[in-house]
Amino acid sequence: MTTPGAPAAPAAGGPVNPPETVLRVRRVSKSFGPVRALVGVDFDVRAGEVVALAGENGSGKSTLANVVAGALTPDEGTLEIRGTLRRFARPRDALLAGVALVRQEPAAVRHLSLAENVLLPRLHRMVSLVDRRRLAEQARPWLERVGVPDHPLTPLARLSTGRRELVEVARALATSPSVLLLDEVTTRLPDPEDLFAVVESELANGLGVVLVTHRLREIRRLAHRAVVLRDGRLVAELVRDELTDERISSAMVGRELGAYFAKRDVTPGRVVLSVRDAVTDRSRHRLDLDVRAGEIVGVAGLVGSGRSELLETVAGARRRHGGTVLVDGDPLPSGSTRAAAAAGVALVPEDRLAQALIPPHSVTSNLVLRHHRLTRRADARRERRHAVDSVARYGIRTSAVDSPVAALSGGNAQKVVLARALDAEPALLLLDEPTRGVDVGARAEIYDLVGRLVDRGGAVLMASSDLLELLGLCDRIVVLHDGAVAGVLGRDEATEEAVTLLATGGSLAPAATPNGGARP
Amino acid sequence: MTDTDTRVARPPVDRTRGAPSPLARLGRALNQYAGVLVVLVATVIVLSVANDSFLTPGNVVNILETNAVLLVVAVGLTFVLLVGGIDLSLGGTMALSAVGLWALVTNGVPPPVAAVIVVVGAFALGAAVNGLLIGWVGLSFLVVTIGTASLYRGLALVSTEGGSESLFTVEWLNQLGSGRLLGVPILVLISLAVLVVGILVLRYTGYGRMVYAVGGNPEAARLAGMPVVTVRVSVYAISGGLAGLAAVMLVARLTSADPNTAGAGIELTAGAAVLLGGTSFVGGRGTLVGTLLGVMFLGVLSNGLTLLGVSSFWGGVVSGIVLVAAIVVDRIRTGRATP
Repeated sequence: MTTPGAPAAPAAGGPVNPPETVLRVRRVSKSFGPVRALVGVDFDVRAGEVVALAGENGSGKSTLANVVAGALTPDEGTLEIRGTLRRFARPRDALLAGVALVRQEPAAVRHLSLAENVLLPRLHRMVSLVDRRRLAEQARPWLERVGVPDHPLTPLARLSTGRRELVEVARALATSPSVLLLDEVTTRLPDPEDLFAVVESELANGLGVVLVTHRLREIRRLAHRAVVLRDGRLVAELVRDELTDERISSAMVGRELGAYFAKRDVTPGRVVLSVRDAVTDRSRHRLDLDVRAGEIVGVAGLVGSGRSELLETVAGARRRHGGTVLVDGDPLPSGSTRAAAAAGVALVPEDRLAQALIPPHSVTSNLVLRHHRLTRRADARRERRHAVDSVARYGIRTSAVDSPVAALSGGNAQKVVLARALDAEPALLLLDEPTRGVDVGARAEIYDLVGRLVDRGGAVLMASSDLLELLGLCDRIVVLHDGAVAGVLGRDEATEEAVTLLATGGSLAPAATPNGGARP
Repeated sequence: MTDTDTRVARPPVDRTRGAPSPLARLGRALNQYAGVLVVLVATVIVLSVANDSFLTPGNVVNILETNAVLLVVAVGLTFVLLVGGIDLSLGGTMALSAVGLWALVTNGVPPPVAAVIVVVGAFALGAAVNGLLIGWVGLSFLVVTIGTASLYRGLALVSTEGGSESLFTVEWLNQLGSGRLLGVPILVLISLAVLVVGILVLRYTGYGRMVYAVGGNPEAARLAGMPVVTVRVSVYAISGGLAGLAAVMLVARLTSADPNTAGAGIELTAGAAVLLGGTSFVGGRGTLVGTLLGVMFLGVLSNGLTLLGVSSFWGGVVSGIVLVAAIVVDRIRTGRATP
């Protein structure tokens, strides 16, 4: 092992000597049932190089990463690591061949120490009793290398999420890999710059890095080349000079970005939702907020700022610890989803598989979930007609209404959830991350459905971590910071910078109103 | 947006139109119960070839009669498994109900009234103890029902000081236990009536759909405005009430109330029948038709082995193998974990 070296050669010229190809993927295909996740993909990674593997959700990039890491066996095609043909039956084979994967969902053991977590892939070789002090000594250089200052015998659970991710990287590096796969690792990092610095310093040692991501900023920052996947096919290979947002995103999407957001001009009507002095599970402050008919109000904020808590409190899914929530002037009781639904509030929750759908049940069952009353007859025929009608009306693509909803793509599953919410013709629609894990086509359809509700006089309160979506759709954006309203931005004031500033605790020029009162 | 019209005009895939044909529905039903149906039919064929007296009307009625009590308990347990719980106190509830019936009758309560009191009492007890502790307080169903199983049987043993109490002289119970209507034992009629009512409730009421929804994803059910606590409490009330009814049937059949043996181990036998019938262990999936098939399989197996002169202890061995094999086959068939 070598000491942390200087950062890799500046990316513009790429590595100088003809570098060794550490990973060669040829004609790799993989199907899951009828779904072709990968179709004849070729790509190479050379030593000292970062190759971004880019694509929308469902494009096949994670499948490809899992094939390279031995977690999935390809149906066809070959892998070469440092010129040697390899077949991986399990992840361990890949690890021994020099491929290390850092996943989005960490595979760490929370109650074990940092040292044990870093050396986990090697622990099985230690037949002798585990000497914790020796483990600590062995793990220390790896932890230092990724910049984790904590003592190696600290339990992992004590570390922040960001540091835990770095421990994951240390574990991957401790296997001395030729190829390092980073699968969407930055989603949970508050400051990905630490990780980027570590990656760059490792490049000089001849490591090849595959960065799986859909974030353009990361690609621009770190990658020497980008390989773009769409529908399981490799559609573009871009070198450094071509790595502009426009080039990458149009390759990912297959058409130019642009017409996805329709800015609507609706004159706001009566006040539909009025939140006064509300205290949610997350908030340390009292929240005030108004949403008028015909308005889309956005809720922005970092993870943990209380966005979902606000929406779920209004929907009655969480108890309110004070204050009032009025819908069309009538007060809602705290913590009753039934009362909220009766008042015309519909929630599209953040996690559709865990909170909104019953994955093994049919599309029909999921569509009629809100229809049932304890003592009322359930008419299977009527339910079916309703489902057939909804599938057509909302453009839900499914092979049959009896198929399990789990078989649908993210976008179509989300349309099922939205169809259920819109069925009741809600006075107030609450959307929590409405397009997470949804492909671009379905995204446009979802925006359209929401837009049409607003045209009919519905009110929408929408939380999202996708700033472009909020800026494009919303009449006003309420920015939360640490459970409090940090500011409210009208359409003309709302910019990416202003929202980010408020969300991270900065304050803004007098333009922003301190509370959430509606514009006159 | 401009693409609105084209999107609305896009026709749905054909198969989403209209109701499925009867043949398709039959096919789906057969597929759903494939595991238990295959072994049941195979067992019936083997036994009818091996023994002439197996497929006689008398023997079929005999099988139904022997398993009427089990079927009633299994119907109740199906409700509990469908919401993702389990009730291990069914045997204990039966013991306590049997002793309760004996106490009421020997203290001069007319037997039909006593029977109704026992069933209603067991229903209320199921709701008030298992139901509230699990569904409302949110305690673990395993811990609670293991505890109440011991509690109920203990109470039953205490009240008779461990002895078996005869009710041979009560004519109404004799009639109930051995009487026939149009040649069919009354116990069989009761158990089939319970089954049919259960099927109707699960298939044709909003409550039934809620049972499936709460078992499939309680959080989604809650956010959809369903009364999740009520549904959870209700299934323990139903399983308790049906255990009470099963106890009345058992006492009528044996004309005695024995707190040691009444319902001993029946929760596990019923559980095996329900799981054999394809009901998911984690809830949200399963049917009472499957439960009937599961009970019939266990009944046919033990009856057949007796006819063939094989020790009935082998019944447990075979049903255990079939249960595990059914899960393995289902896993291979669907290519994923069967919870």
